[in-house]
Amino acid sequence: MTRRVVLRVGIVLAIVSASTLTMALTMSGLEAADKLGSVIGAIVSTVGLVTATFITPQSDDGPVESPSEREGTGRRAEGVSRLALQRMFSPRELCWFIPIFVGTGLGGVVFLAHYSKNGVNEPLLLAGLAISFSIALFYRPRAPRTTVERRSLWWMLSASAAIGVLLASTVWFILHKPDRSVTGIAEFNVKEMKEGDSAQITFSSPPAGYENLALTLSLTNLDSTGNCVVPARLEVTPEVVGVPGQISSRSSVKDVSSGKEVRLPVAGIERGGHILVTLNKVNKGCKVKPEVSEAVLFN
Amino acid sequence: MIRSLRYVALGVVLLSAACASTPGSSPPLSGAPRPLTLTPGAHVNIGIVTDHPGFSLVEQGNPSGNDGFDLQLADWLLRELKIEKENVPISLKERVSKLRQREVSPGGVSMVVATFSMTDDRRKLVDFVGPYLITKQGVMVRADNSTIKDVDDLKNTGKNVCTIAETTGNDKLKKAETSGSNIFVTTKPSLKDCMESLIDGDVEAVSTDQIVLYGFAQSKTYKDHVKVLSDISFGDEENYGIGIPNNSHADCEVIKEKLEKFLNDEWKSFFDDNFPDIPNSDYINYRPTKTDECENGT
Repeated sequence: MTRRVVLRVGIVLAIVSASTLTMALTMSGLEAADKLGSVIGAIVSTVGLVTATFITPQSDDGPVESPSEREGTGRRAEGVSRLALQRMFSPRELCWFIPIFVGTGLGGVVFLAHYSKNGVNEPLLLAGLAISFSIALFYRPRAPRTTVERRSLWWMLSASAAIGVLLASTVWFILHKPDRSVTGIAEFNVKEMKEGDSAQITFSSPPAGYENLALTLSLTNLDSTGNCVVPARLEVTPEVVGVPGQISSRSSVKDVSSGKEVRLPVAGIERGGHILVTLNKVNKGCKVKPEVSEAVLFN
Repeated sequence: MIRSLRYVALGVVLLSAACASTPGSSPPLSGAPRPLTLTPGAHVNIGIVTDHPGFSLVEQGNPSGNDGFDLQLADWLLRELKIEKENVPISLKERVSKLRQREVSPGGVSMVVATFSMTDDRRKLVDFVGPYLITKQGVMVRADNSTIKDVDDLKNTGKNVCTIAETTGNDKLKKAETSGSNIFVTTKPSLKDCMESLIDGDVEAVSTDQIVLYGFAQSKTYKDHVKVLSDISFGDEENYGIGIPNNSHADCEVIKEKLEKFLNDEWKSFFDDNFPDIPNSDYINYRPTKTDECENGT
């Protein structure tokens, strides 16, 4: 009975995990690199689940048993099963699965966060992952001796991994919200700039629901001569609208050079705000074309 | 099974570590960065021109006659860096190709100090440290010429103007020629050739960087024959920098630190020594206030 419950829980978790990942990947609009990271994460957890689900006693047992032996084995197996499950649920061995679950969850978040703009501290998460798996390895239960023990171990392991993946997916895709590229919809309102000029970056469909924007601006010298791009500095100011028609925030002025990423708070920009860019320190006589190389919203 | 688990766990940890070693926010570099080469005791070949009075004049067989702003700067810099150097004569046309040649075969140079204008186009092929001097395009005429007084006289009266091939000055004049100005551009391989054409009367003016023209005008050879029109300067600012091979960020930082020291401590005396004919109050027009950031992988 207990085994059936474990089996059902495992299947449900596997289906939920797979569905969550698939749905999230489909709806998130992630960049290719993000998808790759997510797919690797999904494959790693799915391989574990599938291996656990389809492993059979025969595959690990020794010689094939005769029918009479099998009958005796069946009765013995039932008794062993109860004992084994009791053993598996002993406090020490239950604790062994906690680092597996924690490690899988941390690994899932690392994979999903790897190519994103958010502030997830990957080295810290990886250290947590390494510590979790190290604990799991060093404090593992003794090697299972019977098929039932082995299968129970696999099921518990799969359930832990599935919960970890589910938790990582929930945290990332539902609570956190993945990055959204808006490069194509963020445009300058001018074609060229010179020293002291200001221009606006507007969004053709204003983004909502995000707090930050990672923006990379690039300048191109419109002439074949002149040392224009490298010395130039861009003063970038998000002008967020509080009430319609009124700029309420100009607090975050960032100074950046061409090709370097700048991160700006943009909560509320969907109400009609824009990014103000002023060109400074460009050499006299230079005319440059400003462009948005990359714009990614993130939380 | 525990052994299998061990391998799975190890694999996951290694895979995660491998993925994390390249953070997504870092922009990819367009080429492999070169390691630091300008260490004390190193030996470098420096590309210089040999026929630019004021900047780089080399007298064959008379090393004591070698003089000029660029030569003095190269000597000072390499002395500061405690590096051995060998001057390699190059032409203005070869400045980019000699720096790039080093990447594929011997015979190239690792540094060019030769009135090398920093431009965004050239930055795609080489790196620059600088600027160490600023100028604009100027005009030189024969000493007895009184018909050219401003840029319009040059552009609108069908004058024949000589300039040097593969220079920013040539680019600017060619652009003027093709954009409707009544000007004829004659291109020569070196400024010395243009000077001869000017004195011989084949062209009516020579146009290139104004500070380079001042260097020629003050030399013994040309002093009585030509004059620089100090009121005529046009075009973008020319920023002279030290050229080094592309993707040399580490070397750039080392030179940049020394160059900033040069601008603060030595620049004025070097300028006064090499351009005595430029009015003392005008030096500010040629002196940069700071150097550009070193390029990072472009």
